[in-house]
Amino acid sequence: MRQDEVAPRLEVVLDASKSMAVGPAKAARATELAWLMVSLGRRSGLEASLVVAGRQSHKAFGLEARTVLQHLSMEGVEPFDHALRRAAPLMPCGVRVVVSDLLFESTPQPIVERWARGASSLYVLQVLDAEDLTPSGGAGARLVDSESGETMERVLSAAVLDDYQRRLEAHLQLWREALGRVRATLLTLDAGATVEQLAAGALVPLLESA
Amino acid sequence: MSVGFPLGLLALGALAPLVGAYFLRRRQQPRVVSALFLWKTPSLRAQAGPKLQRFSRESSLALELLAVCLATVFLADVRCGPAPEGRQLVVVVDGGLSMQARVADGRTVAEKVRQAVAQLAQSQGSARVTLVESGPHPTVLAGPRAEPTRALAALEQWSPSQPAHDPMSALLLARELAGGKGQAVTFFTDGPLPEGAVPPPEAQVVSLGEALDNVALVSAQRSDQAGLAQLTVRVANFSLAAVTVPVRVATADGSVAPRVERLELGSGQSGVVRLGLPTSAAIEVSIPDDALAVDGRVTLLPSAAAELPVVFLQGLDPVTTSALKRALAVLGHVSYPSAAELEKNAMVPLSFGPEGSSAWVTVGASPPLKSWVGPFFAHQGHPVLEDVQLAGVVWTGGASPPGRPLLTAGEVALASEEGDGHAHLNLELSRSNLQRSTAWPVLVGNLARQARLRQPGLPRRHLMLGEAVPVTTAPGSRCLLRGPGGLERAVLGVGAVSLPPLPVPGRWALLNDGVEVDQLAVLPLDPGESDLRGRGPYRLEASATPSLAALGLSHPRPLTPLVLLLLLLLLLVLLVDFWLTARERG
Repeated sequence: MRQDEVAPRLEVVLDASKSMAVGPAKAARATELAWLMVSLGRRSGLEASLVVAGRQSHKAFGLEARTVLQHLSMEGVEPFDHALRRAAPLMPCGVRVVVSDLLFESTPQPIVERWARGASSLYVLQVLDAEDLTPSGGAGARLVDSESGETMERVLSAAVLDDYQRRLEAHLQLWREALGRVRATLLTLDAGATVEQLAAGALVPLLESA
Repeated sequence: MSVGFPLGLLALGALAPLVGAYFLRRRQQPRVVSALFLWKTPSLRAQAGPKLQRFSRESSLALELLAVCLATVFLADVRCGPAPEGRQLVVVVDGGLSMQARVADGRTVAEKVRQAVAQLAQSQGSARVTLVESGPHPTVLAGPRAEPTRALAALEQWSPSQPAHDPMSALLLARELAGGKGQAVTFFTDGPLPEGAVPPPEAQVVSLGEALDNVALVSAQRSDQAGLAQLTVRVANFSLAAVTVPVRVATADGSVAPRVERLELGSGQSGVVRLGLPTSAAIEVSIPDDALAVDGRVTLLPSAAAELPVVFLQGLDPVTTSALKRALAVLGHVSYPSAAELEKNAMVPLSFGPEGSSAWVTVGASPPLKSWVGPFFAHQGHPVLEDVQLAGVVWTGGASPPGRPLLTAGEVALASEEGDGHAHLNLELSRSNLQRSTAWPVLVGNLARQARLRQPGLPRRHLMLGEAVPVTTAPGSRCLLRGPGGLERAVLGVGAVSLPPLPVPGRWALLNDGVEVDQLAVLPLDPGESDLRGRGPYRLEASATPSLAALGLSHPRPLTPLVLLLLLLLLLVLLVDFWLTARERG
C-alpha cells in the first residue's frame, strides 16, 4: 500500500441495500467485513473511512465507523450504484474496498470505473448468501425481489435452478471482466463462513497485499 | 327448468380444483431473493406488479369458473320448458322357442325376462326403451325410444316362437338403434352364446335359463290320399334318462277314436311313429307336457293334392296330345274340365297349345327342322328343367321360340320362358324320341308343378318355424292371413308371393275378400330349440363401457340457436382467458 500511496487513506464502501439482508448471515458478514477492513486500515496507519450507501447515507472515520455499523439497518430499495450517487463523494485514496453482493441490474463498466477513479488499488468483496449461490428448489414458490417487491411464481425444478446458475455465472462474469479492466481484485465470499475462516482463506490475497 | 342429462352436472366438479388451485397459489409462501432478474427467462419476463397480478389472476379465475358453468349447462342439457327425453335402455330379447321353457320356480324364462327388463328400466331410470327380438329376421318389439310403459306392455304380449338362430344380427341392429358404437345393449337369453359367436363389445349378455330335460316332437308330416291320412311323426328324447313316451293321435272332429303309440327312447335318441287314419279332418298329435310344452303338440291339416285342370287348345297335333296325356296320367290329380266348368269354377288351367297359340305351354316347331342328340345346355336350377336328364334323347326342333332360353343346342333355343311364365317347347315330337325317355314325364311334371304354384291359395299346408310362406293370389282380390289370437298378415302382391315367416306357430287361414279359402299350420318344431340340456345361467359383461362423453353425446340435443349461442359464449370466454393468461406471461 505504501508503495503506491497517493494519499495514506483507506476508504471502505458498503452496500446497504435490502438485498444485503436477505439472510442474517449475509448482513452480519457484510458489516463484519467492513469493520475488519476499517480496523486493518487503522492498524496499518491509514486514515480509514467508511461510506455507507443505502436508504440513508453515512460517512464515518476511524472508530466512529464502528458505531455506524452497529446501528446500521440495510433498507435500501435502490440499486447500489443509484444509492451511491446520493452518498458522500468518494475521496482520492490509496486503497478502496467495496463490500457488496453486486446483485443489481446495472452495467458494471461505468460503476467499476467510478470506483477505481482516484484510488491506487480497488478491492471488491462480494458477499453472497448460500441461497444466492445455490438456491434450494423442488417446490413451487412465489419469489419476491428484496428491493423492488416484484413477485414471480415459479416451480423450482432442476431445470429452473440450472437456468439460475447459468445466469448468475454470466452476471458475475460481466463484473469480473469490468473489474479486470481497471486491475481491481474481486473476492467472492460465502456469507456462511465466519470472518476468521474468510481471513484464513478467501481474504488472504487482500491481507497479503495489505 | 329441467335437466336433460343429470350426469352432465358432474362437470361442476371441475370448480373445486380450480378454486383450490387459486387459493393454493395465493397461499404460496413468499421467498425473498436478492435478485429477481436472475430468475427471469425471456418467456417469463417481468410481471406488472402485485396489484395487477392479483387482479388478472382473479379475472382468469372468474372466466374459468364461468367456462365451467357454461360447459355444465351444455353437458347437462339444462333447458327451460318441458323435461327432455332421458336415457335410453336398449334390450334384445332372445326370440327362440326355448324361452317358453318352464324353469324350477314355475315361471317361464320369458316371464323372468319380462321382470328383469322392468327392473332394469326402473333401476337405470330409463325414460325411453327400445326392445328388439332376436330371430332369423330381428324384429323391433317396441320403439325405437318408446315410453317404458308401452315397451313393457309390448313385452307382455311377446311370445318367443323363433327357430334356432344367431343373435348377432339382432345385437347389431340394437346397437344401431342405440346410437351406434359405444352405446350399451343388454341381451337376455336362456343359455350361453353359440360357440364362436362374438357379440359386439357394447353388449351385455344375461342368461336366465336353466338346464332342463325335455321330450319333443321334432318333425311331423301328413299326406292324404283316397281318404286315408298317412302320418309320420318323429319324437326325440333330450333328457339325461331313458323315457317311455306315449304319443297320442286324435282327430279334431272326433271322427276316429284317439290312438296312443308308446315309444321307448334312450337319452338323446329319437323314434318314429307312422300311422294311417281314415279321416280328412285335422289331426292332433301330442305328447305329455314337460319343460317345454309347446313343442309337444302339433295339429296337422288335411294335405290332399288339389286337382290340376288341364286343357289342350285346338291345333295341337294328336301325337303331342297323346304324349302329354300319358305323362299327366303318371302324375295323377289332373282333370280335364270343359269350358263351362272352367268358367263356372274360375279355374286357372294348365293349357297346352300349338306353336304361336296363347297357351301356357306351346309345343311345336317351325321349319326348317333339325335334330340334335346333344350336347344340350340347360339353365341350371330352373324348376322346369329340374331332374330332366337328356342323355340319349333325339330332340327335333325348328327356329328359336320367343322368351328367355332355358335349354339350347347349338344356337337354337329348344325351350324358353317368357316373363309372365309362359313356356315354349321348340319340339317336333313326331321326329323326336323325347316322349319315350324318362325325361318326358319329369319335364311335364315340372310344368304341372309350376302350374299348381299358380293356383290361388297356399301350395304348402305345413311350415316349420322360421320358414317363408309361399302364397299365390289372384288379381283383383284382397288376401290376408289370419292366425292364432286374431293376428293378421296382409298379403301384398299378385301371383306367387313369398311372405316373411309367420310370427307364431299354429293354424293360419288365408282369407280372400274376407272368405276363408285355404289354411296352413306353422309347426312349433325345432330340435335346436327343444334341446334344453345346454341352457343355464350365463353372464357376459360388456367389454366396452360407454364413456361419459358418449353418454352425453348420446342424448339428443338439437343445435338450436340458443345452444349455438351458448357454445359461442363458452368459446369466447376461453379465448379471453387465454389472452389474459398469455398477456401475464408476456
